Amino acid sequence: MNRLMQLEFQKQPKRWQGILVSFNLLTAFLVSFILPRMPENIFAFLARFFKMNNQTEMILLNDYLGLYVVVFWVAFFEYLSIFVIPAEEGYLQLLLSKPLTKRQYLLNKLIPALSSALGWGLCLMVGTGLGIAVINGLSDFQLGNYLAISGICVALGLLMGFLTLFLLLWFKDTYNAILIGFAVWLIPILPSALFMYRPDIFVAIPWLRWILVFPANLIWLGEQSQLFALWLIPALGLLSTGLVLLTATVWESQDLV
Amino acid sequence: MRTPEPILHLPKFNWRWLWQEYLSLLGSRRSKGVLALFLMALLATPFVLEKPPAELVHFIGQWLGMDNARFKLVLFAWTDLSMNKLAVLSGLALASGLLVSEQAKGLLTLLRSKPVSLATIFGIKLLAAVGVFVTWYTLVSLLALLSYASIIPEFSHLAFLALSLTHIGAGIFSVCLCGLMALCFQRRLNAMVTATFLLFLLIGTAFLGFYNPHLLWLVQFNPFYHGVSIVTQIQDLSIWAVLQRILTLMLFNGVIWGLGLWRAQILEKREAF
Repeated sequence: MNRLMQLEFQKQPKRWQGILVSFNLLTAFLVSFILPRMPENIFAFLARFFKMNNQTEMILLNDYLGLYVVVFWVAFFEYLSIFVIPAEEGYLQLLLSKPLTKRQYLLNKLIPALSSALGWGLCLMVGTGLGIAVINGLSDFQLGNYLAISGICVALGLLMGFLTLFLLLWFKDTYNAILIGFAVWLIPILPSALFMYRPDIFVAIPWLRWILVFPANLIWLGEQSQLFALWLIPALGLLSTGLVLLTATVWESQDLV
Repeated sequence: MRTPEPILHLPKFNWRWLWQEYLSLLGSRRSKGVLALFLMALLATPFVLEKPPAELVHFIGQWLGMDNARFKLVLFAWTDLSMNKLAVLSGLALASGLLVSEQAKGLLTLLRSKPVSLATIFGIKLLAAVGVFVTWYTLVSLLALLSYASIIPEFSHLAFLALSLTHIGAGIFSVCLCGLMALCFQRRLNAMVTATFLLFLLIGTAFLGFYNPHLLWLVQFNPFYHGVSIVTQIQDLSIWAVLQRILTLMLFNGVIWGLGLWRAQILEKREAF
């Protein structure tokens, strides 16, 4: 590990990330607590429209979404300080005047930020799991499925983060970056609303729900989610690696910093 | 006898400056990005709402009232699925870096060399951001108003107008809150993270009072609740019901705007920038 990466690792984890994750965990506990106390028709509604079998699955649906959201935003806000903020504030040129290539600079900044996002994802995974065990009990909770689906949500959050990073090469200011981040973040989760409003489309094209209705579709997989995660997580990881390398290559070829 | 110094000095307005600021923000890439997302929502909504399942209409009716439940679902989806999220995004994209961005780019020193206070700069920039949001929101709402009647059955122009008039206030709240957060943290990332979290919490709980009437007291503090609550009264709309919500939201926004100006004055005294 070189000095730059060491210094970057020393900056992680950051306080705001801890606060964000704590709030998310608190929200997850609150949902665990409130959902069983909601009027019966709410539960019937959610269970009916997202095809959930029991309360635990309903709560998990919310928690998996939270996991994706937190991992994505922690990564996104960290990635902003790689080249967007330095470019905007005018010191990226200075940073890159040191004897290191753009690729080295990118990786040295990226790996500590990525580790932080991954670490917080794992914390949230453990915390949420414990919350469900304590508040809702383990009768409908399968640890293997939980780990598999959580893993997929974290991997997807990271992949979407890298996609944003790649697009940020053309949007090097914070305001535009947040627009891009927002749009990319919504790609996996927005189409699931369609499942609620237009079930007829999913009847006509049955396989569509396996692609569009994240993260409910992972819950529907049940036991099969474990096998699915075994190949999907590495596949998402591979795609992520490819995207990072592509980002580095394209950035190297950009004339301006 | 010395008169006590007022806590809040209202900024002096230079309308020409505000107009120029508005025009420059309106033409910026981020403003066009916001418009593009607004237009996408406008185009996608009729498709999403073309054939809602009967059970969904029934459930929505249970919460928002059974009369005309089909159209209430349209209003519910329009605010919950698109406009609430776009309000958050607009706030972040238009105002979450007020003054802090200028400082980061080294422009604030130049701006402050003019004979204006920090509060005036903040006030004008925030108003320009609100202006751009209002422009795009109004444009998209008008387009929806003109085109949806032929696509969506049972479309009521009056109800849609009433909803848009009240909900725009919740959107303005999002812009004002993002501006305030920028000044509270003076660091863009922290401001953006906090604003994102707070706003998502607010839009996520905007409909809580309808699901569980015991929680109605809690949502009174949520401007997004006041932005959507007219949906339950679309059969017997009264000007008073609309006005009441507009005034409530103006109060929310006035408070946030005032806090922003106050914070700017404190920062000026501390010479924080």
